[in-house]
Amino acid sequence: MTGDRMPANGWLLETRGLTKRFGGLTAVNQLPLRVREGEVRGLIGPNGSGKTTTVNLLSGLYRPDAGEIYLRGHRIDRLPPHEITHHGVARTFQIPKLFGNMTVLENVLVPALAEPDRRGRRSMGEILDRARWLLDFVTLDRLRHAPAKELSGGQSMLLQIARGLMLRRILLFLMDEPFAGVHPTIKDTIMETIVRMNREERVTFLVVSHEMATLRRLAPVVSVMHEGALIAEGSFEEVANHRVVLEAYLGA
Amino acid sequence: MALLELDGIVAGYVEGIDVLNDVGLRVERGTITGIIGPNGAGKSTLLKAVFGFLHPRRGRITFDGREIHHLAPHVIKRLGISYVAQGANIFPQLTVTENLEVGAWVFRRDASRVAAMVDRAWATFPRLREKRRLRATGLSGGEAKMLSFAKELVTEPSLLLVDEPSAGLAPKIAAQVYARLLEARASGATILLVDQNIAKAVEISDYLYMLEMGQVRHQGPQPVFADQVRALVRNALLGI
Repeated sequence: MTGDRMPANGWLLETRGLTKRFGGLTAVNQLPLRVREGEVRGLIGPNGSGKTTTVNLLSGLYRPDAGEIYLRGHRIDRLPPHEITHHGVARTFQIPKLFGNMTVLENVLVPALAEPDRRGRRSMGEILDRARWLLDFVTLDRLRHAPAKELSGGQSMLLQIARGLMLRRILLFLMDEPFAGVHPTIKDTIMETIVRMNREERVTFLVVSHEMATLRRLAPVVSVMHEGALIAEGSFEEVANHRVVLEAYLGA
Repeated sequence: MALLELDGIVAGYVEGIDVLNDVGLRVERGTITGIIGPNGAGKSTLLKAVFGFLHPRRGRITFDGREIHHLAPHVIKRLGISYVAQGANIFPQLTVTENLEVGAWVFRRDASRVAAMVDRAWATFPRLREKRRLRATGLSGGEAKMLSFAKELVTEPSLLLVDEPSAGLAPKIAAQVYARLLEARASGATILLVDQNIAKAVEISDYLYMLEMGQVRHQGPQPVFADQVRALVRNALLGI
């Protein structure tokens, strides 16, 4: 199959031979990652295994050196990040990236206001309703007029999540270490948000995390990377008993 | 009495978030004590707390019988503790010799002592001696890592704190770094080592701690710990 379309066969996301090199280092090496519609998938691996690079490739921040990325059968790997966003892919960053001088509410509005015209925008009323509902959901509504730069690390993570969910058509949400260094209460809010958006709006999640206990409650299936490659996939029980996975974590 | 003792250490960077949550740990003289654990477990924070980069909210750190948890890093360095941070922590625009002199900065008022220290460092690091007039930018990655060790060893510390010594290094260079640690122990130094490379840490340490979510999850002498390490990693993967 060549060209920009191929049958999706039930995969929301499919990468083929995805490769990214930095100088002599192959950070992502021929990665074949496939995620079904409606899944919450975990992506784990020892430090430096290529997880964040993968997220950066999927969201268009990096151009792959080889390979393809398909979203519902549409090839997206040559699109700029904002086009990939318009296709329904949102993401968060481990170190939150917000518009610091804009208010919390304005940050959430950005994806709606940046929508391309062609498929009929939502009305401003609808947009505001959704924004306020999302902010309320992530417990930030009372802070909506505060500049985003005044938020704590955990609150900034919540705001990134609300902002991503503001996309009119959100299919795939990529999260890079959403639980790292956040307060337990906020961790719970993030988990609740993932579970509810997955169930009610059928958003598919790909979550990179080192917090196994937390991730295990969310993701029935986890993909394991090591040295840029996919080395195992399955339930936590399956991968934790996988010899290659243990070796990878031992660093041997 | 152990050379270094941590007792009930609670520490963190941001209000309300404790990265270390009641950690106790002992480092016996003349040993390598290894700390392993997943990302975010608090391993690097523990080293920073010992070296005075952050002061614990609660708990006690004693070095050679003296409380040090309220002291500043330069004072701690004078007491005989050195800290080898991750990566090549050197001054690229200074020469190799100047880097060593900066390593001995806390003793700068005693020029002859510093000169003697630098001379002894050349004996341990002959390769750096060949390049002593070169700016550190001209060193290879491996040489730069060696210089960051030499710069901290120059004061002949009795306790060396080492954070991720092999991160980002080619296997051959990493092997040299671990060989240096064993040499340092052989010449009497005590080492507290944080490492992501679990296999290597278990291989060279005399006693090990596993940290998880800011707490000591497991500890034991090397032979016992080595037998359990696979089960420990499996449990960590399962989040149990």
